[in-house]
Amino acid sequence: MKGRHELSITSRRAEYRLELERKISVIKGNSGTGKSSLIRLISDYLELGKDSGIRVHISSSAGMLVLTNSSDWESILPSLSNTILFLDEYVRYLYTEAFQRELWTADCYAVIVSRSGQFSALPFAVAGIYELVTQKSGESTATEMYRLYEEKHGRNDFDLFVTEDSNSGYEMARYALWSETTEVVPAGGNASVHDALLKSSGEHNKICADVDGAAFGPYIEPALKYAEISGNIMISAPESFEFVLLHLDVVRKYLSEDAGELTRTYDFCDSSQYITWERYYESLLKQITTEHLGFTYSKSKLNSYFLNGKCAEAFREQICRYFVCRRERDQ
Amino acid sequence: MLSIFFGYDENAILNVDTFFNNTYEDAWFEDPFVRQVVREVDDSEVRDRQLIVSPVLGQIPPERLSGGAKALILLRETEDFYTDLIVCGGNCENLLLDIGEEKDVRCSLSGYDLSLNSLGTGSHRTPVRCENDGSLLYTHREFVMKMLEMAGGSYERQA
Repeated sequence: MKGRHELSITSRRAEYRLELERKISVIKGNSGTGKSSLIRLISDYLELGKDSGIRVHISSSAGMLVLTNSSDWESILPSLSNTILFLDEYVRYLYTEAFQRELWTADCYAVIVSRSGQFSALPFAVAGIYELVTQKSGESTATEMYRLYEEKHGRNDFDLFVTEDSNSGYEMARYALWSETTEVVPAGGNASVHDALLKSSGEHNKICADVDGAAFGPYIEPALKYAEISGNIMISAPESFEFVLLHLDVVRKYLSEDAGELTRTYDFCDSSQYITWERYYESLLKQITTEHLGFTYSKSKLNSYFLNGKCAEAFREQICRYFVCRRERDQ
Repeated sequence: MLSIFFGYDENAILNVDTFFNNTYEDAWFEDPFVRQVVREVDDSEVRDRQLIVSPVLGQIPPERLSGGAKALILLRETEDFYTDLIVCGGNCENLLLDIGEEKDVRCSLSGYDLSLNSLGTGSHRTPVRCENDGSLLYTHREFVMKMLEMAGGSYERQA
């Protein structure tokens, strides 16, 4: 399943507008914003159709399905095709590794309403975490998804750079950033970033943790909480290291004319093949390097082709574009 | 005092919505604290035991309150309600601490979204007890550090 799917779900008093671009969208935020009401409306519509009085418009041919505790997910997920799943926080198997793993290859998008931290087997993007915001106009209201986290530009003035990646990403960071005043250390995976920050935060003035935004969603809230308490940590979350390399001029020229692979990834990334965009970018980079540059990109060892001053400068520039912050709420 | 078991506990009630709908008592809506919960969390007004006015949904029964509001009401009005605080958004935090000032309540927490920013300040001087190790958490910082250390785990409860 690919594409950007716009949904409008309308009842007598409320209208929900959703825009889904990735395999996994997680809706969190305050209580009372209409998350469970949204799933209730969709359930009623799926059960009763037009008899429900609810109007649903989807910009694509995708179908919808609400999974509940009684759903036989083990047989449902492998048979899905072009379907948008909805799951509320009370669905117990949502927090099991077996369900999360099965979701990887299912031909679907999933909208998960949950504030749980139990998603270690389900990578999702920082940019795929939303809250619902309602605006009232007369008797009717419109509720839309807004990202919980945004990116902002920052300065490359840290004295410790922690890379989530221990291989290619770490090699590039070490090449591009290591100096008398900046140390570069690998964390060894998303789940280890917090421990690496915990060990280091007292010994450095300003720390940057570089993570893959396309997969760091389950870890961003604890990382930001610790960053806020420490006061000297920034989290930079470009989609992935491969996403950064694909932006280099020497690689980008082999993308489509509008570089849609990077700006409209949802039109290229098949959700049944890639659980996150990070994996799509890795595959794309392998393809381009093999076909045009005379070597095949490897995550485990960075080819020396990328270890030069121009690539290092572009890497530093990209890192500084993706510092994660909480979206400021309109008052 | 509010006691929290950090981590996923399968004994915690997750479907607060249905649990509340099948257990609530009309009289609870005469409690000024419950009315405050409805006002502050759901931005709605209790007009009668079975009538709440929501700016979004119009006139609704208690069944249509949010999961966070329902969890707070159950914690306040019953003695043994045990839920995972992932059902509560950030706008439930102060009311949760208010309840902990008045009575002993137990919850689990398997997520990272709560901050308890006002813990240890103003009227929220009673510490939060960490059930995993028995420690007392007096401040927002202590709470967050304990949550970061333990909330992601799926621990076996100590006897």
